[in-house]
Amino acid sequence: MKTEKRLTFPGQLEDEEVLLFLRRHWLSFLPYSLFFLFMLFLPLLIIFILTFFNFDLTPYRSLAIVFLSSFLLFAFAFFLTAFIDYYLDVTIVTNSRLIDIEQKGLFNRDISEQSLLRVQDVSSKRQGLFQTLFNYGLVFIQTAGEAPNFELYNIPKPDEVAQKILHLHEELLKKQEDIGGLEIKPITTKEKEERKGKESEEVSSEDLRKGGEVEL
Amino acid sequence: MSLTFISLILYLIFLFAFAIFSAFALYHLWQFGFLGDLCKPVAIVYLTCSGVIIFFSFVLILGLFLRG
Repeated sequence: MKTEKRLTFPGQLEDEEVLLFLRRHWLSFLPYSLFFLFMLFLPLLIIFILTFFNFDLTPYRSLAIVFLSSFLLFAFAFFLTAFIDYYLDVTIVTNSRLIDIEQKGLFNRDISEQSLLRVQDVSSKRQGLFQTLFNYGLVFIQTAGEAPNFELYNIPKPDEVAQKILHLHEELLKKQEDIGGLEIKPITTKEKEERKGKESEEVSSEDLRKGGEVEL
Repeated sequence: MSLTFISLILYLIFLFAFAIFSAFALYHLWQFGFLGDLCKPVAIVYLTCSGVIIFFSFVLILGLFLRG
């Protein structure tokens, strides 16, 4: 979980500040990395097996070189695709919005956003041994109305993230109420007296300018 | 046609497809990465590794081809 204030993203509003920048936990990328390593070592394993069985590769050297380099390039391409799928899946929480960017392969990119004001409920869930040990899991954000809910999988520290999003929602709601004047604040007796004092002062000074009689 | 020549043709076809795929993938990394993240370093490592593999494979294949 990153909380870099300098972080920017395309389409960011002028007064918008990035408060949470979420990516999936690195453990969710580990199977792809291990498979990539296995792919890198597979040609060596094949060569070792062929040598073990005294298979003469000399007549097929050119084919072997082409196969080996093509396989290695394919392994790198696989790794890059997996990395893009993992690394470009990002959820950004700003002081006003929630933006979920989902990269599916190379040619599909879904961006969904929702105002933090529309958040109704945020819950977190950790399932299984790895998620409990490494503290990552699902963050479910329920939004109001027909707006789609957000399901953020394999998020590090899901409890903290859920709490922070709820806190931001409440903060924004409070701010909105203050600006909109929806909240009716009771006037204290001290404020009443101050207001009365001001009114009487205004009247007296005006009356004095007019030169009329002043009732005290 | 020798086996080396056929291998070279097949390899060039594969490299063409690989180059198109890599261009799309690297475009994504370059375009959608964020400030200070791993997108650009990974793109550079990918380009370097691929370049080294392609270079050495060509050196080896051309060596065999010239030898006959």
